[in-house]
Amino acid sequence: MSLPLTQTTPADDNQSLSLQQQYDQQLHRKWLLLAGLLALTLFILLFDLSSGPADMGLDTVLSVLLDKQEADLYEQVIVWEVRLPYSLMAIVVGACLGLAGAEMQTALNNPLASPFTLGISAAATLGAAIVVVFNLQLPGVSSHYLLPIMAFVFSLLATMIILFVIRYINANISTIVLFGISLFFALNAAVSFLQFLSDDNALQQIVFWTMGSLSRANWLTVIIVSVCLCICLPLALRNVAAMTLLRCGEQHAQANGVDVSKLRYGIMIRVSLLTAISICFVGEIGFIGLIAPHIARLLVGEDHTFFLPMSAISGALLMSLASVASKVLISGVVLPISIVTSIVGIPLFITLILSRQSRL
Amino acid sequence: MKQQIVLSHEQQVAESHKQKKALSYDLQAGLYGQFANLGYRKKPLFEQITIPHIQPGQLVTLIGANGIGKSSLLKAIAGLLKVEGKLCLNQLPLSDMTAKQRLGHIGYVPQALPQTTPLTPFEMLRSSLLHLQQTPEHQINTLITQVFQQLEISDIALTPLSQLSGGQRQMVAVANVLTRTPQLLLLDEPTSALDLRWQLKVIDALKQQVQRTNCIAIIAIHDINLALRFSDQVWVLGHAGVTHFGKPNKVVNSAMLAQIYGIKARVENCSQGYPMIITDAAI
Repeated sequence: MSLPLTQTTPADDNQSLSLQQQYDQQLHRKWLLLAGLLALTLFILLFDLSSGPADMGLDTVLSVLLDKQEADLYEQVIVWEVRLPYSLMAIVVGACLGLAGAEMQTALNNPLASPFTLGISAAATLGAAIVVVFNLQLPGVSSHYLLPIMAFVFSLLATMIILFVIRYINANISTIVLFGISLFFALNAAVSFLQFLSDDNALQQIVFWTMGSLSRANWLTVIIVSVCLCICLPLALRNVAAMTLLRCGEQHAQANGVDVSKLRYGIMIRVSLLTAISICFVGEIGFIGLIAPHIARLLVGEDHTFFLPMSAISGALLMSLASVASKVLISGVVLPISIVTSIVGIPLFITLILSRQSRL
Repeated sequence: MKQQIVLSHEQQVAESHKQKKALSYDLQAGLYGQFANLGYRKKPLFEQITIPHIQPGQLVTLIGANGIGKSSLLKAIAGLLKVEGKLCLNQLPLSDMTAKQRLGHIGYVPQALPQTTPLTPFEMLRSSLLHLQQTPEHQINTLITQVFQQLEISDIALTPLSQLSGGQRQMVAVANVLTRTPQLLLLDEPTSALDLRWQLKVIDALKQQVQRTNCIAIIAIHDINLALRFSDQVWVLGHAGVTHFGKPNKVVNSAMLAQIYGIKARVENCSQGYPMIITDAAI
């Protein structure tokens, strides 16, 4: 299909090489950044593992991890059953929210969009609040798992309403966003109503849930969230070209053969799965899904081949940092994670914005 | 052609009885067709409009007053606006194809400029070729580099779109269709944001593409002098789907300008003998 467009002279050839070389250099730099941030995240993970109310340093943790037999039972339990699930949950939840946020911002063509824009988090809170306030019991389901299950079911219900609007009313972006925001307020009102009805104990539980906590993590929940991430990330990566084109504007994406409504529909399904599964186990975690894509965008631009993985890694890094902060800010106390995500994220984010501003 | 729709024998016979004339058309090269009820459901722009038979290798300019439906017509040809009717391109039944199949044969540049994003022009063109999956992956970068060179915009190829001017982004949008070799190019006011030099660069590149690949280019444009100077045919769009189609010097005259644009204007020859319009007043 491709004929040479112009007769290239040697001079032209040099120039063409240099443009391609420049592009290759950019690619190289982006791969390095991706690898670098991944390495940094793993480093923070180690740091995260070595912090906690039980006074165990990195050397103890590593010796337990590398050689299970020699360490005493107390240390083994702390590392394997408490710290590792806690720290890994931070990583996978951060990655899920970062990826979901990036996809959402592309789908809605809005840098202020986040996985929570369309009311998913409010729906999850409503589901959790219903369990707490009415003290629901289901035969055969442990009450420990009923709350996440209800949170998940409610967020999927909210998503289905949104998807219905997109599909059958053929809504454009602003209609979707306005509808999502209305849904968000309606669900919030319902939660407030439940809070009004509930007693002190239930009220405290609801408030605590909305602050998010990694302490509820265990191996099963870590694995469930990881599986969801491992399914959604490759599916998202299959659409990188179409999503990148969508960033040029809806009309340009369509002109290049992208079925925009189908693409957007797929994104919404992935975003709601990622979000619902991650927050149903750890509670509401704001900010990560909004900021991680911006960090990724500042670092690697918007070619989604890099932008999506970078958002996931940035999300994981932010959550891991927040997890460290939640344990070391007040020694001996593990703070709810949502309280510290912004404390950790905002300085990082502002540094990046300012450094970019000075480069321009 | 790989995407040709194969009709069953019975369907073919039925079709041939129904549309004898249309079927004899099917054997011809070029673009032709007919649309009905183009536009919005309640108030269609055109109840009936015939697309003139355009031969391969022709650069056609589409002119007409604001809001007459040039953009909608181009969108309908590209397959991005639902419309009844039939459209054939070099024996390909475009009207029977899905939008993605159709856009594999058509290079369409919408009127809106590419958004201001951190994406670079190089990445935009690359994603477009990757998405359409018509170009072998190892050729993509070379192809993009060549087009940027041809349009002389290599220097902005790796600058984020958010840092480019409107005109530069328009050049990128044009470059995007030139990386491919579609049989039909549709450009919706591709020179609206460009200064004189870049207008000429774009028209020149399009002319080269038409000659080299023997494709058809339809360009909606407001600059009638540019249309007079460079197009092989002019397609004038009037009210209710009335069209005039023909050589520039045949179609463009004072009477047409008065009827279509509502202006008093003269067509005079410049010192080098090319026709030019000089506008005097709005009627």
